[in-house]
Amino acid sequence: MLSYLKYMVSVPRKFILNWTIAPALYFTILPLSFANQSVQDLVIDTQREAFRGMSENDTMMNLLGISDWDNVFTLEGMVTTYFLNLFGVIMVALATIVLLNKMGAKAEEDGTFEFVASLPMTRGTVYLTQSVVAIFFGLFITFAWTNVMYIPIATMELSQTLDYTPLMKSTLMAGLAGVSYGVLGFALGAYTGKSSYAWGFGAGLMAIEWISNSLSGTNDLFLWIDDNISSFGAYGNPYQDGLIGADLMLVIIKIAIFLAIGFIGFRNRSLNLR
Amino acid sequence: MIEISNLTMRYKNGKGVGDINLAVDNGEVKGLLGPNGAGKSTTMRSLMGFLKSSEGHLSVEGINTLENPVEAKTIIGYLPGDPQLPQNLTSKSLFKLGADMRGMSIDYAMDLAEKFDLDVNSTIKELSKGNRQKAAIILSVLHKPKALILDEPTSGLDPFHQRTFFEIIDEFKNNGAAILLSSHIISEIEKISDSMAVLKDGEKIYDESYETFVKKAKEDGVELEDAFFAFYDRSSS
Repeated sequence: MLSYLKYMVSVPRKFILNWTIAPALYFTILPLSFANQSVQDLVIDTQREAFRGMSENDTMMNLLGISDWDNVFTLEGMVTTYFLNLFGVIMVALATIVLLNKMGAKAEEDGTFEFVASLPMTRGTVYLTQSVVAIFFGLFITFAWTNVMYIPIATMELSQTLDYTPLMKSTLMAGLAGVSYGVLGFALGAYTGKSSYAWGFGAGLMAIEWISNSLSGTNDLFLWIDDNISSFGAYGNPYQDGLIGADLMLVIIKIAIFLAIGFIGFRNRSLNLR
Repeated sequence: MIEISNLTMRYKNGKGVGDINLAVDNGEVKGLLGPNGAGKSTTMRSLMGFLKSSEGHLSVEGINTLENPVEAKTIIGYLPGDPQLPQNLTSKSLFKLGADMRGMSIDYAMDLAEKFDLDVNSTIKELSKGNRQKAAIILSVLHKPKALILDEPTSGLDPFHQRTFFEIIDEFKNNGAAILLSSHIISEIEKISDSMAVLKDGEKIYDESYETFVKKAKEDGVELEDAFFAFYDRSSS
C-alpha cells in the first residue's frame, strides 16, 4: 500500500504542487490588502463602494451566502465568509475530483490504470489508498493555502489580523466540506469507472448544496437540505464558534457513506478499460 | 502453468468470449491468434481479473486468479495490448516504482533497458511508440514472473528489438515460465511459439502444436500465412 501511495503522489506531483502553491500565492492578496492604509483604501474601500449596490440585491447576497455586507470587507469576513465558506470549498472539491479522476476513473478510461491493476494488490487496497489520498490531499491543500496566507498576518503589521487557532478550525471545516464533494465524485467514478460520473455527481451535489445554502431562507426544501445534509450548511462559523461535534460528524459521515458506495461498486465490477 | 477453463465473458453488447479452454505448460510459449475483436484481450484481461467473467476457472500455477489476485499477480507478468504509462515519469523512476511495488530491485529492469537500448532517463512522453513499448515490456517482466501474459508484445518494436524481445522470451521459457502471447500475425508466432490457439468471434477454433499447423500447410503446398487465412475463413466459430 505504501508503494502505491508513493505512486499516487509521484505520478501527479506537478498537479499537486500547482494546486498547493498557485492558489496559496493568489490568496495571500487577502491579508496583503490590509498591509497599509493606502492599499486598504485602494483595494478594500474602493471595492466596497463600487459594489455597494450589490448589498441591496437580496438574490446576489443570498447566492454568495453573505448576511452582513460590511463584514465582508474585514479581513476576518473575507477569509472566513468569502474564502473558507465558499470559494475555498469549491476549489478543494474541484481539485480533489480532478486528482482522483486522474488516478481512478479517468486512468481506467485512458488505460494508465491497467498497469496498476496488474500489480499484486487487491482492489480494496487500491481503493483504500485512493481514498486516503483523496481525504489527505483535500485537507492538505486547504491547510497549505491558509498557512501561506497566514505568513503576512504573522510577520507584517497589518491593519487587521486573525487568530491562528480559530483560523485553523475554519480551515479544517472548509477542507472537510470540499473533501465531501470531492470524495463523492471519486466514489461515483470508482463505482462506475466513468470520469463523467465523478464530475456529474461530485460537482452536482456541491452545486445543489451551495444553492440550498444560499436560498435556505426562501424555500423549505432548501432549508431542510441546508440544515440536515449540506456540507456548506454544516460549516457554520467555526472562527467564532469553534468546532461543533455535530457539524463535524455530519461531514465525516457523508464522506464515509460516499466512500462505502464507491468501494462496493469498485470491488464488484469489470474495469472500464479502453 | 496457465489454465483457462470454460471462460465465458460477455460485454453489454453481447460480444466477448464464450467457453474458452486453454492451457499453457511451464516452459511452453503459446501464441493466441486472431483478428481485432476476436477476444484475445478479453481472454487475457479476464485471466488477470480485470473483467468479471460470468463463468470459468482461471488459474496460474494452480492459483485461482480471481479468488487470490494478489498471490497470482505476484507471479504473473502482464503486458496490456495498448500500454499507457504515466507520461511525466522517466522510465527509470517508473521501473523503480514498479520494482518497489513488487518488493524487487531495479537491477534486472536496468539490464533489460540496456539490452533494448532504452534511454531510461527520458520521460515516457519523450519516448517514441517503440521505446514506450520497450518500457512497458520491461515493467511487465522486471519481477521475473513464472507466467507471462503478453498482449501483442511486439507492437511498435523494430525488427532489431523484436529479436531482443524474442531472446528475453526464450530466456523465460528456458527458466520454466508459462507464456501466453497474442498476435495478429502467424509469422510472429512462428518465431517463438510452441503451440498456438486461434480465436474467432469470441470462440476458440484451433488449439494445437505449431508444428501440426506447419505440417498441414506443407502437405497442402501453401505458404503458412495463406494456409492460416484459408483455415480462418473456412472455420465457423
